Amino acid sequence: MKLEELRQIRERASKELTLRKGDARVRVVIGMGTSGIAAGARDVMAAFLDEISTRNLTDVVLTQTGGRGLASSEPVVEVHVEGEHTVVYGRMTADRARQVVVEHLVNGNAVSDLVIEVRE
Amino acid sequence: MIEALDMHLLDLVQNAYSADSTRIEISILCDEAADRLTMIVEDDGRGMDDETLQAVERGFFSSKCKACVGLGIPLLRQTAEQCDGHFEIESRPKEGTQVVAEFRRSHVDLPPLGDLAATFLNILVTAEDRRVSITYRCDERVLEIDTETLSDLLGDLPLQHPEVIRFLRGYINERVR
Repeated sequence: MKLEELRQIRERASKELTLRKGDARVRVVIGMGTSGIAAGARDVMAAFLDEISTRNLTDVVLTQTGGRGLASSEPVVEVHVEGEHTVVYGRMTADRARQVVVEHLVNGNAVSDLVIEVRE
Repeated sequence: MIEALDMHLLDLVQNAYSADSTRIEISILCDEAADRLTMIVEDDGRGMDDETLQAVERGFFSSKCKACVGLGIPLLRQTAEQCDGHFEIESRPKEGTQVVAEFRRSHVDLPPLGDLAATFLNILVTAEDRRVSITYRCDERVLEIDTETLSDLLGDLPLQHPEVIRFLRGYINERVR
C-alpha cells in the first residue's frame, strides 16, 4: 500500500455527498485519561473506529479527552447528537461501544442500561 | 493499571493533547544490536515548571482534574528502570515537554508492546488540527507517517472518513507488527 492511494479515495469520496471537516451530526467523546486507558478506553475507541468504517458512517466524529474524574465509571463515552441532550455512557467495553453505535448512533435510541448521566 | 507499552504511549499523547500542544512527535525505536527499545514523545505544549514537574514525578498529581490519580508518569519510570532502562522527562514552560523511556528489550519484566497498530491509528485519527508524526522502527519494520502529509493528500476529506480509516488501518498493519 502507498499513501498516494489516499488521493484516489479523496477523488472518489468527494463525488459523494460527504462529511466535511467540522460538520458532523454526531460527536462521540472518549475519555482517554490514564484511568480511562487503564480501564480499556483504547479498545472502546478501536471498536468505534471499526464500526464507523464498516458501516460507512460519514456523519460521526470521534474525539478523545483527558480524565474527568469519573474513574469508577471508566471508560466513559459522551455522545452528542445534534439537537439532543448529551448522553454519557460508563463502564464501556468494545462490545458495548458496538451496541451504542447500532442502537444510538444509527437507530437513535440511547442504550439506557449503560447511561450514567444525561446532560441538557 | 496500565500494563502494555502502547497504553503508556497513548497516555503520554493524551498528556500532550491536554497541554494544548499543536505539534507532537512520537518515536518507537528498537536497537537490535544494543537490545534496546526506546519510546519518545515530544510536544510543543505549555510545558511545566520545575515544581510541577517534580510533583508529576512523585505521583498522585494531576493538572488535568482534581479527582485524577496522576500515576501514569511514575509508573512508566518504574517500568523502564525495572527493565535495565531509564526514564527522562524534560520540560520548559511555554516550550514543551519531552519524555524518553528506554528499556532492555530482552528483559523478563518488559511489558508487552500491546496493539501498537491500533494505538497508532487511534492517535492519527484523533489528531484534529494538531500535527502529529509517528516514527516506528523495529525488526526491519518501518512506519513513518504524519498528519500533515495525510492532510495534504486528503484535502478537506476528514481522517475519520470510513474509507480513510480502512486504508490507514491496512497501511499501518502492513508496517507494524
